[in-house]
Amino acid sequence: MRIISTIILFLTLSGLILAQKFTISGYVTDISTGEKLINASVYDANTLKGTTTNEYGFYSITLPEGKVKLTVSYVGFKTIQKEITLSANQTLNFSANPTIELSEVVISGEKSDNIVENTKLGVIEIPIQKIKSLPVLFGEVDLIKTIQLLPGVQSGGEGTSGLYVRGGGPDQNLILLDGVPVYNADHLFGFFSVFNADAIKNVTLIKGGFPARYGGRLSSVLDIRMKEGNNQEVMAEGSIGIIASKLTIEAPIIKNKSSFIISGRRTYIDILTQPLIRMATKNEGVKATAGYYFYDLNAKINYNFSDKSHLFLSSYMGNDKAYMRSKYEYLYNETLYKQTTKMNLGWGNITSALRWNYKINNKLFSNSTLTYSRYKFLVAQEYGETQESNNSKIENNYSLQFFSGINDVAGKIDLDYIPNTNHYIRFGANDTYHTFNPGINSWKATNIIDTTFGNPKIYGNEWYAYFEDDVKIGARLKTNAGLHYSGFFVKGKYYHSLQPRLSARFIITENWSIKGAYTNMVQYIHLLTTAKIGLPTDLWLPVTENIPPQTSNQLAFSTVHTIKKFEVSVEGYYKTMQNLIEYKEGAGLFSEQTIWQDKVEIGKGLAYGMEFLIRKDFGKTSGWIGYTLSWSTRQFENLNFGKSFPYRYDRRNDIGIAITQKINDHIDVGVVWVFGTGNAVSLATEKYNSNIGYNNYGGGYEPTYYDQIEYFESRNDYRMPSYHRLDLSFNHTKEKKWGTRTISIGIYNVYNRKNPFFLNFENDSYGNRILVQYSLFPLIPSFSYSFKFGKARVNQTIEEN
Amino acid sequence: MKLKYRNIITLIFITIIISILSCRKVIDVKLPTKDGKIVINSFFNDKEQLTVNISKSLHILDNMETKFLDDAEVNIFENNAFKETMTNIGGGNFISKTFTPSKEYTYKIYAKYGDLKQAYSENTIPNPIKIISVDTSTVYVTNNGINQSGGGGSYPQYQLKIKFKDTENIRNYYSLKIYLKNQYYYYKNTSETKYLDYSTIYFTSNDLAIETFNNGESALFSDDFLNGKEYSLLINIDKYNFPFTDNHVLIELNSVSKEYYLYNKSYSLYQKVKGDPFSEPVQVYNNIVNGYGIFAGYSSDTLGIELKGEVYYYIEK
Repeated sequence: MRIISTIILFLTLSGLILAQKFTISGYVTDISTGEKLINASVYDANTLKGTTTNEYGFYSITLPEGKVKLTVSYVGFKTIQKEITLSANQTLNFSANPTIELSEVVISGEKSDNIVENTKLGVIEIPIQKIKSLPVLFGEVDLIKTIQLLPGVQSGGEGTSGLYVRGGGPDQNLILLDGVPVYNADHLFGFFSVFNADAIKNVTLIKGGFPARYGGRLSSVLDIRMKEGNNQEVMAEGSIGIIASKLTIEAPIIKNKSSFIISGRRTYIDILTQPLIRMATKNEGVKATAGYYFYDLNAKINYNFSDKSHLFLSSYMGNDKAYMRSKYEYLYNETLYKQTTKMNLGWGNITSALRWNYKINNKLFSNSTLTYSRYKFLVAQEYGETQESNNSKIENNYSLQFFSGINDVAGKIDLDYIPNTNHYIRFGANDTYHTFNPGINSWKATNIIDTTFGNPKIYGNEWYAYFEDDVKIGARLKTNAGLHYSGFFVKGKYYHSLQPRLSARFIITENWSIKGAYTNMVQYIHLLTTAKIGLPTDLWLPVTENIPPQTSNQLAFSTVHTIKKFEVSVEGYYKTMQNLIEYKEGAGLFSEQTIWQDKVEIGKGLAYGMEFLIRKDFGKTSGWIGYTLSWSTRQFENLNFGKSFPYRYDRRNDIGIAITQKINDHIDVGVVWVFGTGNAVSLATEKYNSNIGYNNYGGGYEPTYYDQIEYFESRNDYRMPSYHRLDLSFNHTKEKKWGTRTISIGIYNVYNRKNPFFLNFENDSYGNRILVQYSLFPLIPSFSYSFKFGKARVNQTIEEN
Repeated sequence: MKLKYRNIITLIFITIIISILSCRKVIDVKLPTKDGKIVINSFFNDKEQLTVNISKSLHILDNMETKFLDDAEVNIFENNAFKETMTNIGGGNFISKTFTPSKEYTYKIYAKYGDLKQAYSENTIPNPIKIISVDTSTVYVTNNGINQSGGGGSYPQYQLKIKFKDTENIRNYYSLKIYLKNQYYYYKNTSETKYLDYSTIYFTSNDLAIETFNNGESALFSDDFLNGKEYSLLINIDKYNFPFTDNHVLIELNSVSKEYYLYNKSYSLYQKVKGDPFSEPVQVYNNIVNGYGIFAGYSSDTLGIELKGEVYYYIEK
């Protein structure tokens, strides 16, 4: 703490020493909702100096004394221009006016954070309006599935929400919701993600060129920021879909001072199918019910003490639950027998963040956060038996539970120091206390002492400190250089690492720049996964004495052009990964060994490739075309006889096209087309006799029985057929007295492509052996009705600047 | 424990199946055609004639179970000198008529059949490791109450302490088997009919040296844990395995080649995960050039002990 205080004092004094210049600072907000705008551009037309707002909408720009012509711009908002005479430090808050059309598809206004000029490499921001307007599975808007359409990002399989970024695994993504890690971002085995788009303000994906402020994962950072809540007027929006409905309410508590947002979603297939299940299982005294549902709840409240001080409390809770209950009653020999069985399978996250933004001075901004994150998986079975007769009642109950998960409690402080327009310094520190639960069993029974057994909890402490500076060197060169120092203490073992980060941009012409980045990342937690399908049983585990941290080194280069209204980028990367874990051959979550460390192998990975992206964010037609050419391999000493093999999600060619077209003021359409080389799987191509029959002392062969060994050349050396799919959506929006309503009709997999989910050897009706491909989703139409109560101040201007 | 895991898996499966079956489509997938390769299978030792089984690999979709190559030409070389062309005795089996393999000699096998590529392999019989002693005691194993019946109970086991000395500076691999001498002969259905004297019995062990169990009938381990040391391996056998008043038990410690060890280790894992949708399939080790299978040597040392049986039911003599 003393070191941080000294740094703050030094930075404050150094600001005072540069007295011939003055600083303008403040926030940029959306005038209609009061939401802070992230990455809005604040620029002085006279000196050609500029800055952008941070994650909390704060900006600070230090300029010479005299006339200043400030321009504030942000995607989808009307540009603000303000002329002032600068003679002292000033606080200037800007409220930007949205220029979003009724249907929220046409986005106008200047680009806020110019892709040619910034140093960000491998960073993509996705407007939430775009996510909402693209076609989706079962009509459920899905943030993660939209991200999968971007180059360098791959889905795991048909319809799933797993993220595989630049050859990395699903555990290597740091998914942050309001700065809190979310450990399991999936509902229903990954077919839906846990994020409710109605509660989200901003989404940023970083897949290379990681700034020093991020750490703890190797492959990507998905930074999701929740809305703060409308502090101007009451707003409500929601939708009713085929499988789920959702409702969001946001309103000021004290206008301009305090507001809240609460947003919920629940599926209801279990409710709709309940009568059918009851009918199907109704049989001679048996009553049974079963079902599955998931729900999400996002809530946030904020209070604005002053221009200097803001407090936020946000929380997310989501759960999946599958259940089965049955009751059986019968009378025998004047005794009533009752048997009840209950089974529950559930998993879910809780995240909470208490955040305090404090502007220490015009150049120094602090953000202090306390966070809590919990992921829990639970399987429970209960069995009860009662015998009731005239004189007696005997009861026997048994219950068995298995639960696993992870709990995090963390505190962090982040500081932004902007001494002048040539430097943007960020520094801070974080400490996280992890509690890992690798699997506890609990057994209870009538008249028997309760028993608990399994893997004991593991406690770990992870911390990091970072320093980074966005430095402008001349008019063409800009770098982001930083250091991330982290440590992890577990069971008497301490790991630590200093991770250098460097990215640079060089402007060749006004519309063309080249960029390069080197990042070293270290990850202290592992996910023990079956790889074939993302199950909630996947275990988060810490490093141990025998299992060291995962590390990666990534080099990336890109060339970025803006051609008229198009952004065109080509990016190459080369990434090595060390200390990756994988189940040993023959081991699995349910295998006999009880110590998880005995089930894993440690190996390395290599990923490299090229990514091409053409993107247009403005006008009636907007969207992107992405193409990735990539290679990803793994090598483990004890797997595949030590030879390198393709990663299951090694995808040579991957194409994602996402386009929205506004037809008129009320109608827009969305088109998505994806193509991917088939997943790499281990598939036997031949079979041969095993060498058995030697079990008896005295030797000799017994040719009466031979086991067949199915032979495959190498792990993951067979490619499933390629994956491709076309989705369409049609949105009709109409203004009503009470607000607006949108009817969305979508078709998933328009040409009914039978995409591979898994392959299996079977016998046909004639007894012939065949290889069968199973597909999951055929053509699926969807329908949803969305509504938005309240009237936002929306300009009807359509601009293409 | 087993009940619990089964329930977990069942629940997960139910949920997956509900989601999958609702809209599954079945399509035939074409596989590349394969001509097949020669399969050589043999574990050989220095006490018996060399016996080799020769067959042909089949396409994975072939309905045929197996194809023995009785017409194959199988030649054996000992330390690079031609030894003999092996004799077919039917069922794909070939035997050496003129010799029994010797320890520390390298044997090469060449198998030829029709247009198939000639398959080749070589291996050596390692020196045997002597069993120094076997001590026996009785232990009682108690359930911790976590079983299907709800707990309680204990049952008697023989604990065998098998002492041997690992050879220094040499990488050793072992296989351990326990046999019970049959008092009523089993008929062995082979082309050369004979009666079996012994049959394997199941055993368990928590010994850290043991790496793999093959169906509880044999244990496989390397000298990672005991290199160059005199070591006492602990194994347990349920007394229920000994139905007679007096039982002659044979302890067989095999000193096996690395190839024997790798094949058995991977084959054991292969069998364990076969058909398990949650596990990656296991590749079985193979030391045949231009073919598949295993050609690996081993040597044995045996020690007989007498164990009293636990008679729980009447045995008709």
